[in-house]
Amino acid sequence: MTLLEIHRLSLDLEVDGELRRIIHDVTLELDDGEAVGLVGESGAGKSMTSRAVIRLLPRGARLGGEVEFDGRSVPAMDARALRAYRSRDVAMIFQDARSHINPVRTIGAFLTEALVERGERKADAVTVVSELLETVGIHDVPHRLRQYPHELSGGMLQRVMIAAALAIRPRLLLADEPTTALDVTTQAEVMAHLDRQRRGRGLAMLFVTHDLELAAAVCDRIAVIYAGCLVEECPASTVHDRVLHPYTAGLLASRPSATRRAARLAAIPGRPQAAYEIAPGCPFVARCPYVVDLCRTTRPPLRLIGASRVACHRAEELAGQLSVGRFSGEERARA
Amino acid sequence: MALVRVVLERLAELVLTLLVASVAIYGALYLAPGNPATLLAGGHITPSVLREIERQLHLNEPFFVRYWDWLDGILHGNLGKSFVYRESVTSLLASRVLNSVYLVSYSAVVIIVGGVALGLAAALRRRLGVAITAGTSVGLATPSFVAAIMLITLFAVNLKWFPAYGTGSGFAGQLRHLTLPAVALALSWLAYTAQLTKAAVREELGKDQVETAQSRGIRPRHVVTRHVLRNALIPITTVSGITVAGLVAGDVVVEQAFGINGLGSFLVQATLQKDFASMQAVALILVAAFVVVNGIVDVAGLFLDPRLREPAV
Amino acid sequence: MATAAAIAEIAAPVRRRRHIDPVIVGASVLIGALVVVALLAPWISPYDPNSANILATNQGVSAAHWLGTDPSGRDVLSRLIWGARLSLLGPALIILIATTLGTVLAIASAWIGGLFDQVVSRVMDILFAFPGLVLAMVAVAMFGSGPIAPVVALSIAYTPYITRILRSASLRERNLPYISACYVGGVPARSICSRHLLPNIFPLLLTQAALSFGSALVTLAAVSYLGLGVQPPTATWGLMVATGQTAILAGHPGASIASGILIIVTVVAFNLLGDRLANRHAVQGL
Repeated sequence: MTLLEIHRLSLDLEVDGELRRIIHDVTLELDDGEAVGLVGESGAGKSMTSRAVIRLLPRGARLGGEVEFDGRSVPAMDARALRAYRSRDVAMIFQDARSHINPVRTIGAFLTEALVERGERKADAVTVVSELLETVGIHDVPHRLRQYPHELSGGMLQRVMIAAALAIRPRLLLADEPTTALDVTTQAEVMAHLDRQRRGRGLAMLFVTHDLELAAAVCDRIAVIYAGCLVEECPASTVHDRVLHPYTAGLLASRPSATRRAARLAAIPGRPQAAYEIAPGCPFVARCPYVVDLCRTTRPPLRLIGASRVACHRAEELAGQLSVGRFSGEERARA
Repeated sequence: MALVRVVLERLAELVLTLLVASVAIYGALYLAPGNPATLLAGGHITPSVLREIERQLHLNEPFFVRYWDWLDGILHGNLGKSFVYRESVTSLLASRVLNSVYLVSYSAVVIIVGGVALGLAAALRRRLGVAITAGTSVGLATPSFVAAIMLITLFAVNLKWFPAYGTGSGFAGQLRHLTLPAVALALSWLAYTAQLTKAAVREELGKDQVETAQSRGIRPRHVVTRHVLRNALIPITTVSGITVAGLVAGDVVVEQAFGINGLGSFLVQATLQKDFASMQAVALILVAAFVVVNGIVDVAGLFLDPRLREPAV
Repeated sequence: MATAAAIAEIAAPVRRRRHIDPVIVGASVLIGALVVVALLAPWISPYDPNSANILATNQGVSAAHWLGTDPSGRDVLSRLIWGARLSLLGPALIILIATTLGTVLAIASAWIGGLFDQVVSRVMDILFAFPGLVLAMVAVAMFGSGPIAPVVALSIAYTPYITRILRSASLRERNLPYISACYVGGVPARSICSRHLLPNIFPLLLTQAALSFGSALVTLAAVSYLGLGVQPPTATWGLMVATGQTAILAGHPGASIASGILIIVTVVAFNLLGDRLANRHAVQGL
């Protein structure tokens, strides 16, 4: 059953008095209990897409297209409905827990705030969040509840943030790079907690990350976004064997691997482009090694190929040929 | 435990500051020209009588002995003897000190309530913000004595809503009499607090914790009180020490402007009459009031900001 | 020579000119006009500021007396013009002395550090506990009323404010690589301080001077208002508010309010100037 439907989403932000396009065209669906990884480089619009779902956008933002949660239009909600939606149906986990949790209020106040705000008794809320803290591996709970954010480590704070998100018993989690700000060993631990809790509760999740491998490991499907456009969407299981968009292939190639040997780690040539910089054609045209004339003139629509959707004119033609090597250092040196 | 240690440290600093300040106050007026014995005797006296008076008043003792006597007296509630009024300073001040305390407290309430409310409104409502900012710029530049004559002209002489001078009797009477003085004293500091609040609130509004609260469906009213104002209170409190200094000094001027019989107007009289004993006592009281209130503000800052209380992990 | 070139290379860049800010221009023009009026007082003032006329007291606005007359029948406009002299000169002296003293102490504290820095900070903390007005009153009691004692006392009272801000700025500047480079390059400390440190904290110094000027003007005017400063019949704005006040209850607030408004306008001009200068530094990351 479809829980979240993002249809032809576009977003403009006001920058220095002029509108700037941040998201061109993103169409995406999430089923109940399903996890989708939204992958892209910094500035691709993935984080803004997740914020559009909860309408947490900067002042002066113009939203186009439609976002429907359980059949209700999010952009059309009035203030009261939006608050109810935010406090019951969807919960956001932010990247930087240290700055996103109020430094002058206690951990307990932070955890119970949303529950008390929607009318639950304080004592009940404390019981709920205490249990949750235990399940995400935080012990000595009564003490922790009285502590302030600066007394907890980054990893612990992020687990507090996860517990706070779970506490409202949402149907959808929005996780915006939840482990990026943490150090590597803590990342794995926090991610494991998030993954276990989500699966255990059967929650849907929109997982925003720049890490394709991580997304593939914890999500059911992957959506790749480039310069504000959705370029490919595929089952997580096929990411390693059969990607259809050259950009996805490039992302895969630019990760270090334990099994592949390479003299140099591959990089996608050129620099990431912002949504407002791209020409009418394919957004990836400037950096794509497979570009043909058609790519420069016409923006490729999303097309269904097998279990995937891809926005590339040459998807069928290139199927199976998109090699990791094409992006690697030695290949380009030869060309 | 850390909190107790920090508070004790501040307390020690406070006592030290007060001690040094008291030496400075006593010393400055000790060095001042003019012999109190001559003043006391009045007119022509023989040198032997003069020496006798000096001996009685311990005027011939060395500085630190006299300072110590003075300080010892103060710690026992004896503020010295005024040679002008020929009366103990303690009893001279007893009837006046409350008037000043009422005036400054009234003013502080006006500043805190008015300043924070205006600043908050200016930060949250953009259009209103422009008007408030313009108003506070003028308010900030208005000296308390200019505010006093304007308030007297408008509210006492023209509209006749409030009395122009004096202190009144009974709670309602005092409140009525002290309203214009309190507003005159408050005005520029209210403007200052409003500007400070506006800047602090704007800053906090842009912080991530506000975004989190919004994402959780917290009512705007609660977002403002718990995640904006609560945090903005820290810089507002920290900087309010300077307001206290302003109130102490402003009290002197406003009492004089409105003919209120308090510490401030007494200090002006004492200065004009070179009544050193009274001056020493009042100056010390004013400085002590400033130092103590500032200390309280400091400790309040510790309570408001948990990050200052304990070392981070 | 190579060292000198290398130092020049990393020395903090001279800040380039920004577009002209109308508020800065407006405030500067107003302040400039007041200074000119003060200087030209003997030539432009319509009447003798001290000639009393008991037949023409508390007059309203008229062609003969543009701003009316005070309770002694003296021309308010003439007194405001003459009053500008001491009312502006006083705070100017205070700020000059306080910033000079403050800058020297701040740079010395930042450069020498250690015990010297601690002692200076401690003394400043204690001075901070004395409201300027109280210090001025003690000075008046010691040396008698008049223009000198309050100015000296307020110069001392404003020094800690300037020192505190400039000290932390100097300390920040001192720790920047270009200063270390000078030091390593063998440039003598005195010339590092005067040729590199001072120019780089100068904009901040100017801002603090402008911001403190308004406050010093108000405090000095308060001393005058209380009758402890310049003695009558000499005109200062603060004193004029006091002399005019006697006529307010009789319904003649004009003289008092005119000088009050002039004080407000002057202080607003200095505050706006200071604020704008401060904002420019914030933008430039000072």
